[in-house]
Amino acid sequence: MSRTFRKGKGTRFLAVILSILVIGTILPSCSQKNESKNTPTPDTTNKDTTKKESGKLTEKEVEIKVMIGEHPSYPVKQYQDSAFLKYIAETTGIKLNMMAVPDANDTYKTKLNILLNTNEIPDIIWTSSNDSVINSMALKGAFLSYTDNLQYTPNIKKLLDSNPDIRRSFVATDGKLYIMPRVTPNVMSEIFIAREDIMKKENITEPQNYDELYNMLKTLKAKYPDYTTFINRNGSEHLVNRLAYSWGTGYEPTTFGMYLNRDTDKYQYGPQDPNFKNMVSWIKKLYDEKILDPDYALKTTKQWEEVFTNGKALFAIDYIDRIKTINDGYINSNNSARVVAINPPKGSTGKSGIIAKASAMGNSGIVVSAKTKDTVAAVKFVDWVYSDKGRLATHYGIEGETYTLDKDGKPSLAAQMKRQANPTGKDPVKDFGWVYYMDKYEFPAGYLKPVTGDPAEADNRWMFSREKMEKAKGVISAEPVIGFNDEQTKVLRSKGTVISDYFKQNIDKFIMGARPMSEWGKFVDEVNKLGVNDLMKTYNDAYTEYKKK
Amino acid sequence: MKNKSFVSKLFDGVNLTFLFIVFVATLCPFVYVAAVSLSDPYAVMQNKVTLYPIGFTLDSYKAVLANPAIWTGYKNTILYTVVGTAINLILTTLMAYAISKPTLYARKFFTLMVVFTMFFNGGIIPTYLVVKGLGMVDTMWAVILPTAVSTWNLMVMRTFFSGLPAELEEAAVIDGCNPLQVLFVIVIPLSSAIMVTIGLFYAVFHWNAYFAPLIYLNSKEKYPLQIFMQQILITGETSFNSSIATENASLTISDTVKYATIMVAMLPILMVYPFIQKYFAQGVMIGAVKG
Repeated sequence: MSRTFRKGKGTRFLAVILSILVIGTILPSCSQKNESKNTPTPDTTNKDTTKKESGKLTEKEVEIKVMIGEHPSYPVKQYQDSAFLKYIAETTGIKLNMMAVPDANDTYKTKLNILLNTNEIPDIIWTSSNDSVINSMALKGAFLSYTDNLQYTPNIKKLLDSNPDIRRSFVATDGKLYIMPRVTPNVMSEIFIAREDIMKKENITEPQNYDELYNMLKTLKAKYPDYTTFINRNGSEHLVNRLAYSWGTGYEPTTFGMYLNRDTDKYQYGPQDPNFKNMVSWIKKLYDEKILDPDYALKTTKQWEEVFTNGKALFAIDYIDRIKTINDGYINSNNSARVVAINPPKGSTGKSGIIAKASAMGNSGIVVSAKTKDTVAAVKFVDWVYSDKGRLATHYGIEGETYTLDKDGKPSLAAQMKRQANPTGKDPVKDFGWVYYMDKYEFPAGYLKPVTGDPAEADNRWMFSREKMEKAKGVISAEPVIGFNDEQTKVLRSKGTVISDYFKQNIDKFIMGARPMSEWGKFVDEVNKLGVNDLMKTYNDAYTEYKKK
Repeated sequence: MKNKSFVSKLFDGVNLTFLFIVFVATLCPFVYVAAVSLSDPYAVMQNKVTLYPIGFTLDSYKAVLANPAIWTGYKNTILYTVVGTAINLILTTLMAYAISKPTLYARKFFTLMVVFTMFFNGGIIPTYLVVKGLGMVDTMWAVILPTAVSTWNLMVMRTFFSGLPAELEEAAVIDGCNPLQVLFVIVIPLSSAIMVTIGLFYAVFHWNAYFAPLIYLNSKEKYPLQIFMQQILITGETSFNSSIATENASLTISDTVKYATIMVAMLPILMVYPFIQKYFAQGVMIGAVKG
């Protein structure tokens, strides 16, 4: 079978070409050992700007690469196309090179992980996404410590001094702060939402405690049998967690059911309290009389929204933003229905309200890489974000263009911007390149003055509901975010999950009647046997450590 | 037409019913997505939309097409798919043909090396470091070259080539062909079926590529369509950020826009499939060895 093939000119030519290609692919790997062409290393182009304006953070213009999440509705523009980024460069001297990553949770996390693990860390990571990973890498020297640079950052220092919980919750195990978190001074808790128009129509006065609430819901159920009187989403943990504080007990899903008793300043386990049993009995009563949605344990957010939008739900406990979205839906479909917050009902101990989230958010802080060429400029820029000028810019855009300040220094939307009264106005993102997600230090709600008394906003009842809950002192401060050492984490992982799972399995049985309430005591014993006391001790030890920080 | 027996007719009837059910079950979600994308958002929220649009509006499509990201994504996806598939086919054909020849020196060794990579993989980080070291990060080549030859497709092609009758190639050689001419003039024209099939596999792989572009590409101008789609379809529940400079901004992308995005991204591939099917049928039918 071996024949000598006639070697024509064409064959030799092709053979030579192909062999060159083969060798050509081996060569690059030999020559490029230390040279890497397209790595995004931190770039510092120091342009000499001869005028040093007051307020600028640096004398020369410094370029900083920032990795930030990008919401699809608000695409991030690059420097050359963005009036906003140019404005920042003028005011601070920092030119931002934005590396926008889609903010869908996994996408951002995956990208960040790859960059962290291959040592391609950008100068500033705008959203830390995973604080524990950042802190452990920081111990190996990957990131800049804010605590070592406080002399350059007066605003950060002021914030940390006035709010010691930030340091306690976010420091790494060496006691230094590497993450500057997102801070929301006045957080809002969830609220008690009811149908204002129906309450008016049926002449119902606002209930002040849980017995009156029960009567109100019972009346409504009788008058509107087809409607879902008390609708709930995200299952029984959601319901129990929101009601627990006003019933004089507590249940926090994120801490396996442990809650901080504000009176004794100690952690305890909610289901052990006698008031907890009373609360569960009350919920069970509502379930038995079909006041509580029979599907309460299974309803998804989408189904919840659907029932409300159709006007067929009467009462719920949920986020304040729901007031806006549900009412906007009614306004747009010409429905006269409106939802509004009612006063938080008082429990038997006289307490009322719902626990809000912590004012310093986890997993969304600013982190500065230690390998940045100009660390002082970088850390000064982070400080600027927490300063008055920086807060206004990151929240509202360019002064004079997208927002204006009145004589008290209060901002309001500029006349040329798009809003209901001016639908063809300019958009901060599309026209000015304003970057969403850049703000890290929130203003209080309603800080931005409306240009005209906006009737849609008044009809919306969002601000009204917010003020109502605040006036009733229903917004309870958040529990602290405690860190744990390795041993404690082991206990939490082993016992905590078991306890919380056992609770989740049984709570629905009690509410729905599969287990009679007379067995509640037995249930508490069963849970205790799973190690509640060890869990409690771990939490209290960690809490004592936390307070010492 | 011959009269079919009753049993034969019964079988046809049952067969048709079953196929019809499968057809409806497959078509329903698609019709639903199309209907929602053409409906009024509030009707969708009230869950009134079933199989036909309510409150017909093209606003969602306008919003999607006005988004420059979609166009960038399209341009990039088409570029990567065309260039990528071309490179894939050339490389895979060359290698598959070579490996299929029993006279190849060290054939077992090469085959073993190739099969080995099917089971063992360095992992994401080492692969990333290799790509970075070769200077391909943030370029188009990082998405095309590392996965240029898929071992699975390679094996399929190899099997096909070894199935071609040896007499054919011998006849060509007798007539004075050298090996390269045998490949290009004889074998490849006969393999249109396999080329189209493998080409389609590669094309769909490139069209759907999401992870490799995500980790290797840094600049937004190079992102393919899938990344923007994922961004629009799966914006996580953002529980923060309620301070917005504009009055009526809302964070959640309404379902109508999401579904319109799906339709816009899917239609081209959908259009292409029926035309390619013709080539499948043709390729399979052509016989080669006569006499």
